[in-house]
Amino acid sequence: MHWLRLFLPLAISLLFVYAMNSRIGALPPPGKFFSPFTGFWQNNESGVVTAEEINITGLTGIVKVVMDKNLVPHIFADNNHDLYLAQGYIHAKYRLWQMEFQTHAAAGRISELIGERALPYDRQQRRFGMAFAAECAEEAMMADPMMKEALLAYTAGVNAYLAQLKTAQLPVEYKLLDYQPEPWTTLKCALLLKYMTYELAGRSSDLPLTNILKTYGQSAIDSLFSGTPYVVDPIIPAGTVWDFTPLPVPAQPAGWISEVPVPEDQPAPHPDNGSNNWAVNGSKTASGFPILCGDPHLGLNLPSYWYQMQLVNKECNVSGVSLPGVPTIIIGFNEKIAWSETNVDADVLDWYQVKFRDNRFDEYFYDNQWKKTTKRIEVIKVRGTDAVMDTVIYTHHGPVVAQGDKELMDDDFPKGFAMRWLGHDPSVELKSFLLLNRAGDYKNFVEAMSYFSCPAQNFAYADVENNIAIWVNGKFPLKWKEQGKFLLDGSKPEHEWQGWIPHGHDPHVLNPARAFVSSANQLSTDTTYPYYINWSMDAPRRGHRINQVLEAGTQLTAKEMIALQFDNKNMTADYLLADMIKAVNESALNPSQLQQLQSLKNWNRMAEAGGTEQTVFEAWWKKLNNAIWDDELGKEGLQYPDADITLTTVKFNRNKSWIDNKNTPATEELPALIHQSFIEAITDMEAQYGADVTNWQWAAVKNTHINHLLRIPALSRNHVSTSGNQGIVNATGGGHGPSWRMIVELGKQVKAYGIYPGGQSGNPGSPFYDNMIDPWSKGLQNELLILQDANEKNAAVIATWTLKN
Amino acid sequence: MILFLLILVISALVQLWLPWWSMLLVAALLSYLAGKSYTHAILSAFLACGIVWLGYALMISGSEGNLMTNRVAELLTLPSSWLLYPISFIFAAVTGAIGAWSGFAIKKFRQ
Repeated sequence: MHWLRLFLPLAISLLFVYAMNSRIGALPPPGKFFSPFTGFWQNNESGVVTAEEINITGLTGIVKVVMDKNLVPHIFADNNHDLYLAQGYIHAKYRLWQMEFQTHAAAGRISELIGERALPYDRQQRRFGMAFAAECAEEAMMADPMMKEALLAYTAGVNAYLAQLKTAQLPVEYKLLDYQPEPWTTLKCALLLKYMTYELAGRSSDLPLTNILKTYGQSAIDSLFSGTPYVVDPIIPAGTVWDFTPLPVPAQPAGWISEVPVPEDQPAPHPDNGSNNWAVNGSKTASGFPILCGDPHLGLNLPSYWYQMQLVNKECNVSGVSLPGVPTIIIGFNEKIAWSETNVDADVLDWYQVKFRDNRFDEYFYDNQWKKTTKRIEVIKVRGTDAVMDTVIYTHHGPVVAQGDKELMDDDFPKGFAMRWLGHDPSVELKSFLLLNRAGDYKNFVEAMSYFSCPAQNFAYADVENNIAIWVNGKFPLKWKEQGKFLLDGSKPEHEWQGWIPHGHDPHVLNPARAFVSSANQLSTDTTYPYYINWSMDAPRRGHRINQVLEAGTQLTAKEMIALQFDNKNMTADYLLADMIKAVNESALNPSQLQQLQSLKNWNRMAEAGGTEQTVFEAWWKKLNNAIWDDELGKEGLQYPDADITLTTVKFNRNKSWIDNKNTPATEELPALIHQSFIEAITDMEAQYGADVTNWQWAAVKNTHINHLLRIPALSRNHVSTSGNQGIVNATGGGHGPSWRMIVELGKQVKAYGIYPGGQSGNPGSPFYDNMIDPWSKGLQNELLILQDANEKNAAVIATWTLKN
Repeated sequence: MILFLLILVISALVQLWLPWWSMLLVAALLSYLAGKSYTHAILSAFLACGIVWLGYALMISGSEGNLMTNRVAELLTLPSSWLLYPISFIFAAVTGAIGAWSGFAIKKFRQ
């Protein structure tokens, strides 16, 4: 009894400390997490910023960081080293967890943080060769003194912040998952760039198209999967004369169709990835100087992809948005020029069928002989259990992604095929941004462009000398027409990429007669362009609308441009609604259906948050798409044609054999499908949202949500009420949309506006975490503060920090 | 009262540098040195440690606001974020009490 009285409390003490210092299921260790000394309490933040002096080892001079009322830092440094060191420091201060998490995600290291359930994701990233790609890029970047200086300084800045970071101040996500940040490296910068490359150029439809070719023959490809837009409105205005002599295009080898039986799963090209940009020259503006506008559309996340900054030293004075994890401004402007990117969607990912000698995968057949593979052993650390090893087989084409033996996250990779991806090639996109940040004229801009390879972007450009331009810019393989639209034969040299389109031959136009340039991911050029970039790009609905407005525009100001970025005209409805309404047999409708049809007749075709017409039209359009395509193309491993083809099919009643439902003995005609789809859409809406149409408001049904990267609802924003949809200039869908909106009015004194759906702080406990979401959802933009001097008096400045050694 | 104040001050100070469970050691040590009875030691530590956490949490909330507190309450599906204050109080109080119990038990054992 005597002993028990001693040992009972001691044993309970030990057990209690051990248990409360460990994670309980998915919950963080309660002792650490609930402690006001170290836990979540410490992440409460009032948002008050005060003047500070911060010592940072490695700075060569004094750096001033001027914070404005939107928590945008304006960094003034003497030289490039100090500028990028300070940028790294500030990125880490506000976005550390996000930058590290995204680079972990790129490298396939999420299992380290959350355990076995991330293994299929991690394994896929490893098989995709993401770390390999980053290593190649890092090596290429570090070989150039300018990039090396920026990367090393940036890395030193992040690590300077880490050295000062106290446990109590760790971002809350580290506390929730109970882990520590690791030192930043230049490789992580490369990983972040590849993370974006994968987002924008990491998909292909080679497999489903091969399946369709094998199931329905060449005629199906010709009628449904060839790049003929409903509206021809290319990025480079039709009729532009090319200012180069084209190289000969490789001859197409004799037809070869992969014999591998493939249907597996519905493929997942992200149909929403799109963006807008445009520039108008002074002849169309009130100021007489150009206005440049851009809004890249990405998955909507918290913390946001973007972080606003102004970077100033003797070489540059540049503002805009940066990517936490990478030095420089990615979309922005300086005193002389402005630029913005949209995605090209070039076909730079192809699949090669590989014949291995045996199941040891040591050799594969190529050019009539056996060639050796290389193997890369990937060690995937897994939280709470042993590390997992995975051997990735590399051919000279690239890695074999799906080996057919282990589980990957997506099941739509052709099994046993090698992936040829431009993202693996050494590349130096960072150099483009370093040069763009410092560019003063069109010549500088074109030089900056020559370093940008992947993901290819449409770069809109404007300068203070009243030049406007657009470059469909990237490194493009010199392909035969439609090379890589289908699976390729990895044993034949003539199936490989044959060389490169010279940079000067990338589609571009300077000062076109129409006095504006624009892009919205549509087809790059008219048919006179001598090279192949991709067989399909986005339907030019957004592009068409933008061009209509800019064509008609005169005396344009930022106000009209802000409105155009928030323009909600549904072009699909504009093209087709009248025809669709005509096909409905009104005498067969019940009163509520008739009422909905009546509303659609009076609809101004704007996808407004509070309206119900967009909701009904969208439901109707989806039903009609399924009614036309589902019977043949809804099967696993196939895909629907692009929106363009459906537009053409409905508008001109083409593709009659596809319209007919193969699952019924009768022959369906288009008007009957349209009528039936309308009734089904209304019936579905009533079943899902009730008979009271006030519950059908577009914003409520669409439910724009901005998720935290960990998909934790308490750190996310759900039910953001806003207009727009994909395919509309304001392309705000459910989880995807304008990730940054920017308007730049060039002139003697540059003026700019911008906003993104998030906030400057990555801390969910800060008022600056999501403070821009509400104004963003209403289409408002902040006027951006542009300082000339760190000591400039301005009402918008809230504090100045001094950073020194 | 002296034991209570000692635990209050010293456990607060050590937690500025050491992990949360350092308060358990502080409660144990001080109960060993200054505890008069099990009830006296345990009650003093319970209240002192609980008040340290509750007080600091309230201070943070007063100067920095409750945005994160509210999100954590939502994360833990609590009906109100105010519950996090008693939860933190109880957690620290129990930690202190267990420490005091152990410390005083050692004292008793050696007597």
